[in-house]
Amino acid sequence: MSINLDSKIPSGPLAQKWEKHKFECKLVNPANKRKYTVIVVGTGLAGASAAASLAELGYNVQAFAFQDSARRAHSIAAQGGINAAKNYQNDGDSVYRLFYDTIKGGDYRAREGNVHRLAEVSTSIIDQCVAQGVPFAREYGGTLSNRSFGGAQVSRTFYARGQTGQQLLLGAYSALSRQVGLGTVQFHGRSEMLDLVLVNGHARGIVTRDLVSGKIETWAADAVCLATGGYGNVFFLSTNAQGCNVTATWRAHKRGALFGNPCYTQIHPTCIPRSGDHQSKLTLMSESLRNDGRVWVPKKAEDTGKNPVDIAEDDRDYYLERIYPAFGNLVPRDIASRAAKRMCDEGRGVGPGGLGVYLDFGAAVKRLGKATVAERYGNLFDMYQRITDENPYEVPMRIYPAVHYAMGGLWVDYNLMSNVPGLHVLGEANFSDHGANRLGASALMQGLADGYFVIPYTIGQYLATSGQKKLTGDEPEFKQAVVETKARIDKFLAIGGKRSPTSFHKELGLLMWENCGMARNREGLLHNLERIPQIREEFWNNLNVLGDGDSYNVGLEKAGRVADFLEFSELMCRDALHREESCGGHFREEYQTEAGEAERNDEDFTYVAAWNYTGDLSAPELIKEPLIFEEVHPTTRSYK
Amino acid sequence: MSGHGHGSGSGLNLTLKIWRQKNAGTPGGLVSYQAHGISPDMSFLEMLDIVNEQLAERGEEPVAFDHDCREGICGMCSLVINGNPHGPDSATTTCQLHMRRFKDGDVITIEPWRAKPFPVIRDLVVDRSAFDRIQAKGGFVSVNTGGTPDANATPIAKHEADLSMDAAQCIGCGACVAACKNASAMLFVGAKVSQYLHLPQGQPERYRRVLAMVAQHDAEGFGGCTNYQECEAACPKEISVRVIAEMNRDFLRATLIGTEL
Amino acid sequence: MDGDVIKVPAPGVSKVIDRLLASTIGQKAIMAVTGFALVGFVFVHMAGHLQMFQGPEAYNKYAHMLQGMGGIKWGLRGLLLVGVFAHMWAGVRLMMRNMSARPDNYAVNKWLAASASAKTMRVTGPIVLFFIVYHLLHFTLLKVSSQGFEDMVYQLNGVGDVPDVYQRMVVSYQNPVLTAIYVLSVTLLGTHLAHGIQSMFQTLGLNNNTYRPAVQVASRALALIAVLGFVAVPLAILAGVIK
Repeated sequence: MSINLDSKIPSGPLAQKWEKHKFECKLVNPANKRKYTVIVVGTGLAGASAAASLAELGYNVQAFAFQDSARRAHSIAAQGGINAAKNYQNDGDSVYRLFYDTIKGGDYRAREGNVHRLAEVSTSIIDQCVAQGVPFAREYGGTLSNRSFGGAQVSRTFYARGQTGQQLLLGAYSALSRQVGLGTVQFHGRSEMLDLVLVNGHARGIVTRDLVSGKIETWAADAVCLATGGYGNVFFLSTNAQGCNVTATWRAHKRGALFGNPCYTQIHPTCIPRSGDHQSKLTLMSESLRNDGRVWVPKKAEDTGKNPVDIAEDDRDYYLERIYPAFGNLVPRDIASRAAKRMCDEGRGVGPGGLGVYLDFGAAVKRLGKATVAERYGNLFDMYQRITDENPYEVPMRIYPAVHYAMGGLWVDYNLMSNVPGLHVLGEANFSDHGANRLGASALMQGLADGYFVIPYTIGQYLATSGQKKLTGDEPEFKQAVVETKARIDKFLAIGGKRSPTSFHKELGLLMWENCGMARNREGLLHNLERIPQIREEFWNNLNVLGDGDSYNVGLEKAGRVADFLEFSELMCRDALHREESCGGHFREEYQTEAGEAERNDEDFTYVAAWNYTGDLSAPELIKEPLIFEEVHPTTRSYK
Repeated sequence: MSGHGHGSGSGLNLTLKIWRQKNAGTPGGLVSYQAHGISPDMSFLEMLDIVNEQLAERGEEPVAFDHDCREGICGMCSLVINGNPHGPDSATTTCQLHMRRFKDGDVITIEPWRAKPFPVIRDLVVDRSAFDRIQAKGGFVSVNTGGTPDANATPIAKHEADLSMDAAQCIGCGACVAACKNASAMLFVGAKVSQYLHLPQGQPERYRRVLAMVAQHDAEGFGGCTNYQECEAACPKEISVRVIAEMNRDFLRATLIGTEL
Repeated sequence: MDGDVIKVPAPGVSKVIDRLLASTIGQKAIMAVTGFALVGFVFVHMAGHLQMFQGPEAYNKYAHMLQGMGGIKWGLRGLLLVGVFAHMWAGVRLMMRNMSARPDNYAVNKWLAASASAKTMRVTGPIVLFFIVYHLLHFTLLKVSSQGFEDMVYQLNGVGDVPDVYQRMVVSYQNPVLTAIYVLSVTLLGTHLAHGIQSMFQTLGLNNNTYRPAVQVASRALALIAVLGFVAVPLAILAGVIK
């Protein structure tokens, strides 16, 4: 099978592509919209905004979430802010600059057309959210406040204290709630998608399990949107919520949707280091801390055990300021994370296991006063103290990088449609806009751009032209999918082994972090490709899931998700192995400069790696979508 | 990967009395479990994770409890711990509660949120969809996507934006209901009402919103407010009962001026 | 689309009343407004009582003046009665609703913030009601503890014979048991008011974080003033200061 990937990027000048495309998209007339049903799986920023916007247009929407409410999605945890090219600060920002920063920040591994569109609609997002009653931070004059964020030299980040993601999600949730109240959206909470149903080659429905009753149900529609987030939990320990999983996108992949750039994962530099084996997740401290905090390690390895307060100024190495004087502590995430790892590899890391660096507010407290520091970061400091039992006003925080975001995801074209007709993928679940590294405060922007301002236009193009007949959900394809889903559940329950799903998840996660985490090399990846099938084999022979399939069963839910991680992780390693260069969040140790910086190989790897599933026993097929740069010419990313 | 120190002599040894209930239709009860070697650095939920792993090893079904982000913002975690919703620490969700708060030998009773509108789904998991139904009645500004004015077109006094944000911090966890002796959700409803009433964007639907949301609150079977202020003390986001005063004022005003629903 | 507005007739006064009676906030508002009236009565009543310190002439004159108010007196009595009844009705309605909102209670039940005054509203309310009934039977209807009251007559300057309510008070509260009942009941009334007054402000929305501490202090201070004002007279009688 050979797939011809068409990204459908409109022709013409970059700045006019989206305008032109919107005009060229076929429309569905208002009277016909109510005849179409759209399934939206996942109701975080991207899903909730899409479901609400599509319902406002007149479509019937069926929305699904594994949590009880759309308000729980992990978008809620984003702390720092959302970028928009408003240039309210008069500091030289523009749509083009946001576009440029994002392309550069993504290490020239994203599509120009998509990224420019993202920058264009960013301004509308802020307008929309303010109109919804999102209480962004404001100046005394009543105008919106901005701050700067990692990877940018302008202040374009809008924020609501340290809870921007929460406020934006609750805004989208409120828009969704309004449609639920109006009856245009049917919301199905505690309902997990377990399969995608294709009829006549088009995505026409899904299979879900009601997590409370265990009932397996099918839903037919005219189009399906997946907005199911990222796969960071493949590492077991990440900043993701416990429930985040790859199941929906992986199931879609196994039904034919290509997986794009799975090896691109973002490691966030400012997380609280782990404290022991019992750890179930890593907690992120907002990147905004780097605006006033200074990152350092002792100059001498023998000082790492000392109380940091006793280490003299001259004995401290403010390594980000030293190596990257232009951006200093505000270098992009991948750069900051790798620098921290390098310091720890040199034996200068601090805290348990030497896996930490200091983030010091001593100078900020002196300069601004404790009250100002508390006003800006008080809630983060409190959170840090609750977790570590240390007071960051007095002792420098310890931070260490942790898995945070998945840039990779299902491949989509400019219309956010995958290669499977009718299957649209939004937000973190798709691969599209961040290239190999995402800039801070850009995830919220992309999720809402996709849901509020892209899919409402582009889905019409598909619906108006697909020419598919109406389905009831009783077609043989649905019945077959139900049989397969039930068989899988029965299989989990029948194994009767000794090990819990979590123990397999931990084992896989450790392996992935060791060999496919912040730094990767050929040897480690090959080791993983050998080990993962072995773990998978043990999983299917020695798994212990108690209870039954007809009730609320946490172990069963977890087993399904871990099973998919065990398959997905292999693809991730395969992608990391094939990409023989370092770019963004993908750092191959074999490909680095003498100074230890990432070394890209534009000649051979300026493409999107889209993987096609060919069967459980055969290797996936690599399909390349070349990246064409008309505006920006890839250069070595320098933040020095 | 079995190195999480259970059975070792170090750490805390605790007696847990956990509410177990198969489903909404089956009566439940408190069951005692022993937890050994619990590290003080663990979060409360990580302690339960370990108890669950040990239960599974013994062939007993794990304790079901709601949780997701484990960083205190999604509002999914719950648990009444020794009579305290979200445990003994103020301004802290259960997922952010750490075991260093407990002493060796402690007996910890863990119960689900209790309210008629929050039926138990299993063990410690309750159904909080009543909150979503209240929200769907008016917890929004009726503005469609697109066609909105520039974000800076309407200045909003910082003070008002801050009051709005104070209320908007609600994570919808339901601790206010769990703590209230009347199982009232007034703090939840008040927080949503207050968020919008301090913003110009919330004005057009201000009175309709409060009437509709309070009506749904009452219809769900939540109790009424008797100003005990237990909710405020339990709220992990420290939402003040002033939001209830504001809601009361707007509700009465809306009623007296004959607002149409 | 909710843009297509369906014209609904304006709700009308009956709808306003329905909403007040049917909603939890409406019921609370009824308690607050009637509570406000009852608190007003408490303080007027207390001010009247304190005239005991001015001697029989002043006190009996005051009582005579009240008796002479005729229609106004009955109007006010009627309003008070309605107030008490509405306060009770709303209180009982809310209490029943609140009890049914938590059918299964916790094994470990803890209070986190409520004051003793707030926690005991359900108890202090009915006790105060019983006391008021007893108090009316005692002094107004002369049915209990009122032996000899009929014979106590006072010659008021320029008026002639009037009931000697001063003497009736003195005789009653020279009895330590009656004084003890009175002091206890009034203290419970004060406890009820300490939460009730601030609750009234909160329920009517006349509260915010600026005034909240002041409302709380004022509520407790007023409650204390009421208790002191009421107990002063019987204690003075018992101590022989008022004879």
